[in-house]
Amino acid sequence: MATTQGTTVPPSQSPGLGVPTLVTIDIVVLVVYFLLVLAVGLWSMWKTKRSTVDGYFLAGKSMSWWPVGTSLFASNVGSGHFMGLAGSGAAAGISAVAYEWNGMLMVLLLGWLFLPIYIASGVTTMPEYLQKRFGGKRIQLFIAILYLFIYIFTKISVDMYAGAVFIQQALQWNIYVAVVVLLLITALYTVTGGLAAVMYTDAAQTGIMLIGALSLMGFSFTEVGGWNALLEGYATAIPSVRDPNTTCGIPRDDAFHLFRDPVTSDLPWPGILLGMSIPSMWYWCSDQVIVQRSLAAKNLLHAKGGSLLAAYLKILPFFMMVLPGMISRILYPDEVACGDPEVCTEVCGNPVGCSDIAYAKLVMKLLPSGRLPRGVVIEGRYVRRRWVPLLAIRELGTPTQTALSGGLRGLMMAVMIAALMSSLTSIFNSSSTIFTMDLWRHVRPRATEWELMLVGRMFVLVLVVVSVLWIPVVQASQGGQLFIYIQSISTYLQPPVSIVFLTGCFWKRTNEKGAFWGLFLGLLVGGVRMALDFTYPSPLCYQEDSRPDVVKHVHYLYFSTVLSLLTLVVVVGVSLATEKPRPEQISHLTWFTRFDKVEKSSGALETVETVTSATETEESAEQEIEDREQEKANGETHLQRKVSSEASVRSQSRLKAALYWLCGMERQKEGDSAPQPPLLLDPASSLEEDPCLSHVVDANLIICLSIAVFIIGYWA
Amino acid sequence: MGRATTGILWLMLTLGVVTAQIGKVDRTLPQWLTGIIAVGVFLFLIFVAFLVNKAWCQDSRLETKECECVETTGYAKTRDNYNTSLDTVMNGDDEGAYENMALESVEDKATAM
Repeated sequence: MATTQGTTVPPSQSPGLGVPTLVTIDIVVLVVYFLLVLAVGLWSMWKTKRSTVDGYFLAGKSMSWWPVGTSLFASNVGSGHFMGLAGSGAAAGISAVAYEWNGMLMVLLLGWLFLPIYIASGVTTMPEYLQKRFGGKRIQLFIAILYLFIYIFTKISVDMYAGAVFIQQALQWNIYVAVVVLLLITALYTVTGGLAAVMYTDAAQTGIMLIGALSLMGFSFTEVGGWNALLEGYATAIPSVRDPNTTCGIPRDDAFHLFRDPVTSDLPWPGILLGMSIPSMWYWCSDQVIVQRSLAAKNLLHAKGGSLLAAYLKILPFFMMVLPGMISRILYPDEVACGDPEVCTEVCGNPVGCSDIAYAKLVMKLLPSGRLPRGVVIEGRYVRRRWVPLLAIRELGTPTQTALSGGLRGLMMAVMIAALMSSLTSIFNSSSTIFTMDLWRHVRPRATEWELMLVGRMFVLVLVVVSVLWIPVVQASQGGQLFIYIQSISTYLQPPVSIVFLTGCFWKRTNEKGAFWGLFLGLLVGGVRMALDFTYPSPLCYQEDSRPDVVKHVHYLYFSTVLSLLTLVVVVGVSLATEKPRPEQISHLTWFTRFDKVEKSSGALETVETVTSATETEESAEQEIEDREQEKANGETHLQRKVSSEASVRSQSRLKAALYWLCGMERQKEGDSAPQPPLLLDPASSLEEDPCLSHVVDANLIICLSIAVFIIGYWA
Repeated sequence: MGRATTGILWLMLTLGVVTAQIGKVDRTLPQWLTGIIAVGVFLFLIFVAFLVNKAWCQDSRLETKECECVETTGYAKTRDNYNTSLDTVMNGDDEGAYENMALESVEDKATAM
């Protein structure tokens, strides 16, 4: 996510939009949107079996490429993207899109390089992979807690903040009521449906996001006067009130360049190539939210197809968010690009700058709501029971209201809510996966599948409460740099984890001690820089820069590069100095060993290693084989579920049975064993690809990469 | 040679036109041209890597039955079954020196039907 030019909007202060801004048609559009999403969620509940670990957390590994691809896109693009990318475009030009296009390359890397390893290892969560690869418990727990921390304190908070800004700006609703209602609706299908519901609804929400955002893009281009008008107008988008002695308020010279000066600019090009790639690799290749979606795919080809779809979709944020943000600056320079702290405080409550309101401003000003200022007439009439709006008469001095009215603003509301909800549900589900599979199973190693399912669902509800608790924090952050700090948390904590995953996957010699000390020292150094950043906040535009040299002159992208190198040196050094990893820690857990045959005995030993007694080992091995067969049989048919639910009805009250079905859990079987390990199929067979389709997918990869290289070269 | 000179002169003219603009970061080449050049370089690199991979895989298959030919990021991945079938078709005269009956039989065994 791009770090914008530090603005926070206190949601309690509404900048001059006193009238209720949604009319009936907008409300209707919103209601239709919610019903659509709920319908998709409920349908997906029918479709998949969600009472097993695989079924709930990995959608039964049965997803085809299009839900995988759209879910990757929707989980990534949250409301923070709309606000952040548009705001960065308004404030600093197109450089922020480097994050998006870097992400394109990384998601392809995931599909082709990392995913075969994860599939071969048969894991559900990323900490689990580290545990298998390095052994021991400390890295797994460390990473699990770190991930949960990052999710709760960076991802959830940023999306809640951006969503709250938008809801307050546009809807003027009570923020608590709005958020609680939204979260309850989405929690309904997330808790009951698991990953399958989340992915299918993400697909629907991607469609809505694309339709809405692309139409707003069309409107904004029409308004500003076309492509050339954008290119030329941006340089002159200067607010009328500014300090003439400084450059505050003046748009950057290199606004339309991606690769900027290595020393003096806000995003130096070596930093973009190196310093951005490593955290980006963490996000796309070793973050639970993203990898879990790819793991849910039917087979490797579908996962690659999903990666390709997501990569193609990642081209769009440039056109949907960055350029409209720049257009917003051209159209409303005094508000979006305010240069004077007093003006800024008046406009959006933050003296640093108001670029964050760029997108919201476009939605509110460009899209007519049906309530127009006095002096403008809008006519329409009912034609066969449909309201047909006609042209609004142009009022002098205001932008032309376009012909279509009403409903569009509702659509944009739906878009923002879709972005917010899709990201939040994905984060909820993945956090729940990590908590259940890594932390809970560590505390209670013999937990039955039933218990894990229950815990998984409960944790989602806990996260809903946590999300609501972020709202008072958001409201209290007036004028503060809180959310910039929060974003910097991820920038400084991601590189060490990324390097550990990289060395773990692609170098057979990495061992547990190397990984642990690399992680520890890397996070320590990152934490030190983070503390320095908090103590010496970056100065406002017109203030003098009095920070210590190490903070002032070392750009955070360069620091990220240095941190990665440091972690790499520590990992390599300590690994070479200590003993080699054991063969079962390498077999089918690295790139070079992903085709290794699975040894049944070592597999069974590893999965029951938490269960201490030797007799139980044999028993559960047999039980596993039985359960595995039962799982296979159960996994397919709807009929099986009906039969089992019918059986449960006979022995329990109907209400309980209905509740169980709704929650997607089957009646607790007597003598439930520990959940069987993920099917240890021969990795070679699970990594097998139909050669013809493999050809097609690889060719598509070359095309996608060429397009990415072209657009990066075009805007360089 | 004349064409090259013309090309260079044309480029210099564009340079001259572009540098006449004051206050903007100079673009020495039009944007679409930098894009095309970048794509060209990229495809060339892919081509080179593909050739290297084919040459390397050919050598290593003589020793081992299973060829874990792995190319680096973004290049077409070759697989055992598909690789052998493709190569039996594609191996023309240029690689004929390496082909022998032993290799043929190895390929037959490795092909998973």
